[in-house]
Amino acid sequence: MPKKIELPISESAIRELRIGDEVEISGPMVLGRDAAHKHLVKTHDEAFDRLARDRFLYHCGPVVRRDDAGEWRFVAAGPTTSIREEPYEAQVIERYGVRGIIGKGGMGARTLEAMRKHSCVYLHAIGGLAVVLADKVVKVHGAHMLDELGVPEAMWSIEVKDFPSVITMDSHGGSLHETMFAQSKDAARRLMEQGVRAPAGRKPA
Amino acid sequence: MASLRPHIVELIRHTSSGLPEDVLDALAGARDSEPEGSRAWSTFELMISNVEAARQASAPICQDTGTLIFYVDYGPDHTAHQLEKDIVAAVREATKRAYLRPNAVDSITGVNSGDNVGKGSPYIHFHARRERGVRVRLMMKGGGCENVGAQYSLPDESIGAGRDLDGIRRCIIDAVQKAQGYGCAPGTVGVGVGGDRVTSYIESKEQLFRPLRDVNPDPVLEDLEQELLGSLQGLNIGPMGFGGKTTVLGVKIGARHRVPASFFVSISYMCWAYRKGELSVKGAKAVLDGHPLAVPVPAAKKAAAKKAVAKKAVAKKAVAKKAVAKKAVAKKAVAKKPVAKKAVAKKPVAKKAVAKKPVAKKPVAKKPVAKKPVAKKPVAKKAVDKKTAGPAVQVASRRARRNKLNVL
Repeated sequence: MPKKIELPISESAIRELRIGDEVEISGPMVLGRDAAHKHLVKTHDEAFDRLARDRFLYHCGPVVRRDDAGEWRFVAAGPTTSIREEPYEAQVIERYGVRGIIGKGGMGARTLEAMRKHSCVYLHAIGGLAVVLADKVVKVHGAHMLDELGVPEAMWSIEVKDFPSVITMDSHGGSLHETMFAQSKDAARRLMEQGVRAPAGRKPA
Repeated sequence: MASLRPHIVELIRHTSSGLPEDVLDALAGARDSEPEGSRAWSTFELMISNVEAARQASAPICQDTGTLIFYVDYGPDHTAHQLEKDIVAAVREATKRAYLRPNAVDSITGVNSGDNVGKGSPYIHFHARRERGVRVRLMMKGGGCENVGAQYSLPDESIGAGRDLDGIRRCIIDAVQKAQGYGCAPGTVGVGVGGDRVTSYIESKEQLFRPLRDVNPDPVLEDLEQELLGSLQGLNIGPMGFGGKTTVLGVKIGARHRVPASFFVSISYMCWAYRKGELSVKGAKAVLDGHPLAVPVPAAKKAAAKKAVAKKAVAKKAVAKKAVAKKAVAKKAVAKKPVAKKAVAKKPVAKKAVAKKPVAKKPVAKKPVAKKPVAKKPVAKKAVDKKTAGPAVQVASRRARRNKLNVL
């Protein structure tokens, strides 16, 4: 059974999470990706601080629609690749007190270290799961810097319910991605050494 | 020649909101090879249910609707100029309807054009042909998987790759290992060997237009593809890099001649959300992914079209709904074709189901296929209700079958 996570979340609750834990997140969180990260390390953004402190930051550039009443609605909202934010994320975690990063693919050593130091986790969502995840967005409060950054890059403030993900980097220095990389690297080396297979009879279709 | 804009909008909608059948089958097969309830199993399960939900809602299966890559083969009754105009207009319209995310960013200023149109966007590759009519193939390739693409210049000492088949093989293994889950595994690997830097990558992308279960015309490459399709699974990267038995869905390799000094191996990685579609138009006939295309009916032809619909004995409700939908779109649409196709769209669906029987799913196909048509009816109705076009029906029907398989 997935663990339920309610946002905002305390430092001690974050420490209890370990890699491999499946979780479902509910509560307010904020979106941010490439342009937002670049901006967030350049200045201290008070508005973002209010949206992110003790909450989660989701790497996502959604497809949105505005209904007749003028309300925003998320149509498609899966995670984007997180590693691009590696140069910025450690600083964002430290400066804004973010407790969780949601994305895909995992992040590097600097972020892992910041997570250990400042009590934060990485939550892996399934890439390409855009419609299922958009359904978990129960409310869109608005978008910070929409005009400057455009729809995919704006910092959307949203409310989610039972948003599914897996902890792949925890606040104790554990990273599923490092393990997987090392494992597959060994397997790849062995596979390379096997060389090209002799052109035996092809399998019948 | 009438504008193909509505057809292309439909091609974009259909491509964005679903997956080709061979890809869905491969995902279902991958799911069934994992222990039920495992993380890999439930990841595949979520992927499949996401495609079904997207089809129902006509929403993009992935928010990254990607780089739009059009391949257009056109006959003497078309001009590249007009087709380009139609494609650009269709892209704008599809963006407005949220089938596409605004995805064209000025690289220097950072400003998003807002409508997916910009310098070199969408990318359109034209090819003139002798035969009349036009074929438009569309691939939507997300940024995450595009970023894990790689180009090797052989020899490459770092991976021990020389200028031979073994070297090519090493490049492919290396690229898939480095891609991990970043490109939304399990992916399909398109490989271009030879050419120059540009055409080598082009070849790798063109390989991705091949169906998953075809046979490479070159027996040497076919052998390599088959071997790698088996052995790469041993990297155990699994869906999204979580670990699992399926690391790639396909390996497709094409080779071009090269200059003696160069030997490039280019890898394009396509994520599991492998979106591609094909539209063929010949005279008044339009076919989308093997199904007669339902396009908005121009106002003048509406009465005739309705009659045709009635003749085909489609549910009354559906007709009424369609008519409403038509009216809405017809205002803009100018297509001159006598498009009674919406009604016809259902027939081939049935055909498809029959045609599918022989395609015994590898480990899966234990279920008697005869049940399919039964499951189809209610699903079909639902799809029509949603004013989605013909092809949606066919995918929805697969859901019933997949769920049944699930019970096994």
